[in-house]
Amino acid sequence: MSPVHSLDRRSFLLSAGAAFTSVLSKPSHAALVTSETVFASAIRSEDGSYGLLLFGEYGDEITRLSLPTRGHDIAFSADGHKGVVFARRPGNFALVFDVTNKKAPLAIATPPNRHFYGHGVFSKDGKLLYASENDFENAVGVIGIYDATDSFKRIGEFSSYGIGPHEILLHPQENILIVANGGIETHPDFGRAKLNIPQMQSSLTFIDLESGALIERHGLPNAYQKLSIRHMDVSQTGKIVFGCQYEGSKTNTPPLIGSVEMGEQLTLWNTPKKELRAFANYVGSVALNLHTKQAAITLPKGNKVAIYSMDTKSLVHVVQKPQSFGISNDKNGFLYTTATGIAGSVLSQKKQQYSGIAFDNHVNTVLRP
Amino acid sequence: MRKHMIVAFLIAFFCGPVVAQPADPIVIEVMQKAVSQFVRPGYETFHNSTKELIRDTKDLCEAPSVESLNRAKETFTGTAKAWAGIELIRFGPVSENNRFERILFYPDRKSTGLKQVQRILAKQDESAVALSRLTGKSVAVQGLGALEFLLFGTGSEGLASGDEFRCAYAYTVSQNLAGIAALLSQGWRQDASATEIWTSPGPQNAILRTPREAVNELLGTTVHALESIRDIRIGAFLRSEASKDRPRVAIFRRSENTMNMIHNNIVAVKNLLLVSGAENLLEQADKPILDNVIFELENAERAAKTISEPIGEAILQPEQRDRLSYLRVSIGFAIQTLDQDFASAAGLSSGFSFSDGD
Repeated sequence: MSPVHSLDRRSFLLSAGAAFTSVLSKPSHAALVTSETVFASAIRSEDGSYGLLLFGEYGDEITRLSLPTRGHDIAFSADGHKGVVFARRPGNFALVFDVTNKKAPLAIATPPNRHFYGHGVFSKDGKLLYASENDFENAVGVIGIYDATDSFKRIGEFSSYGIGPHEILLHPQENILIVANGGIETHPDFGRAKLNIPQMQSSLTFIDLESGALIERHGLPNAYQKLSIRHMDVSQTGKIVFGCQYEGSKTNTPPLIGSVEMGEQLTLWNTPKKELRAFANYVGSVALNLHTKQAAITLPKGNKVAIYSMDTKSLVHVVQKPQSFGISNDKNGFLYTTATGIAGSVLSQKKQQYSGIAFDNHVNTVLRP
Repeated sequence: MRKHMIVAFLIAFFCGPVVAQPADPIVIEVMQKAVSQFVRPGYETFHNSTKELIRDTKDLCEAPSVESLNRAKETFTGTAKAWAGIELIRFGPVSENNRFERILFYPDRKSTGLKQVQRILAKQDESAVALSRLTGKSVAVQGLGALEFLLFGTGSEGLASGDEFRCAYAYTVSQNLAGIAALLSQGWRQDASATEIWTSPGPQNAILRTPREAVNELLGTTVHALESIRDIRIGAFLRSEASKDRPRVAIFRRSENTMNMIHNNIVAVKNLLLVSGAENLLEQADKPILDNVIFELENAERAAKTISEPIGEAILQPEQRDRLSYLRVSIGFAIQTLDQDFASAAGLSSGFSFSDGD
């Protein structure tokens, strides 16, 4: 769960971070200046309220932001100045916040006939924001386009070329959007009910950001018709590793992780059946660590984090991490977050328990190590 | 730094909040009772009612009359109510081969099923009256939704005077339902894998590897069921403003079984909690939490009974519409109590773990 945020700590402290630190209390300031990396996650507090938490690599809290309802993923502009937290589906709001704390948060909303799916991404120049959305009356996915230079006005949309677009990423080398179409039809009239499970078709699409045209579409084999591609991360060379959630019988054990590159065939990675059974058919988040050449997936229903080699596409570690949802890379490998309020390192066993909060599904790196 | 933040690093093993968790034998007993006292009888009742459907649709086809049509209609109502009493179970044999949707495809937002059924009738599509071919068709034309239209929808009066194709289609759908129902019953026998999975949580179990996961499964079943009643069964037709209500999409409005379904759905959640002995998952001091849930469900149950049919007329009356709104709120309280208070008291992380994620 770490779309490209290439800003290093030094740059951050010189630009956004300098202003940011000026409004922080002393301990928070200390947490920021001693952290190589800053992470962000939507949270829920024990009083039932929702918010956003920025914290350092050692789990030290930097700041919080209140949200009117449950947030999902957070997109950051490449310069690290702006962040946008999206409502969980079928929410129709997103909150733009200024990381430098110079401007008040700005709420943006979808048109009445659309809702967010909880994910979005800034264009490389930071001028546009793309969001995965549901055209629910027509049961098709769209990508909403918002002008970040003009109060985030919605200026257009294009098709996601599938149903239920979820996580979206920028291709690191091309002007192309990568979309994980989960394949599941939902409609706000029916809450979060899944309306088309017998016919669902998930896909991963590559879309030209200039024209909105479909460049490639990768479906799944018929045997895995009930797999839903939901989350992914992309390497600097454009290799996408994706994670799936399965809508079929719990006794089935379909592959849950795979990879694809533009111009290449989609590949589902093998996991030994014994381990796969314990994954509970549900990947929460995906992150890549390009230094270790590893991909990590959280398995919140299986209470684990699994780490794969990107070279061999094989499982190398399974670590017991109850209710782990979020995953991001850090200098030790991967940082995970849980619904029980833990933020910790997957392999080093360092962790911090926050009292009274639950981390939501995703955690993002604001600063790269 | 916030006061409530624990600064020190915690090493090694998981050290979450200390919450008493029910002992293994208690969890196993609760799961065993859930299967033997709720799941098996529920599927048995449903299976028996589908066998009656076969009998009564066969009688209707062989001796069409107003009386035989009415008998078939009554049996349909019994079958629909029986399904409402067990449809909250989404685990095991019902989750294979689209059986859940083949029994009842709902919501059908674009009325795809209705259009397909009407097309089959208009074309007298012979493939719909051969069981082996019907099962290969769209899930929306082979279950209770299709049967309701055949028995109660436009043109159904022809069944009393010998509409052979329509009757043969209704009979074939009944056969299909009975076939699926038989598989569901078989799939929960003593030696069946679903039974083994639900009643023997542990490291050897393919799905429920700890007692905690078993509790999660049971509680998740009730929470999802209540969410479905509120958001799908009621939410489908009761909108925020009366002017936007859509009674035409209410489940089984033609047979005037909308509230029967909602009522029996609520009763099913209550029964599962009661007959499984779910209170034993709680410490003595926490047992009132379940009492609160049952209180809310019984309020909802009573409210559902007072709303009349047809639902399209009921929601035009402010008092009846208010009761439906109350019903939704009451179910919401029950969800919140189960998802937050009960879950915490039973040693689960409240809230998030039951979500179907994203």
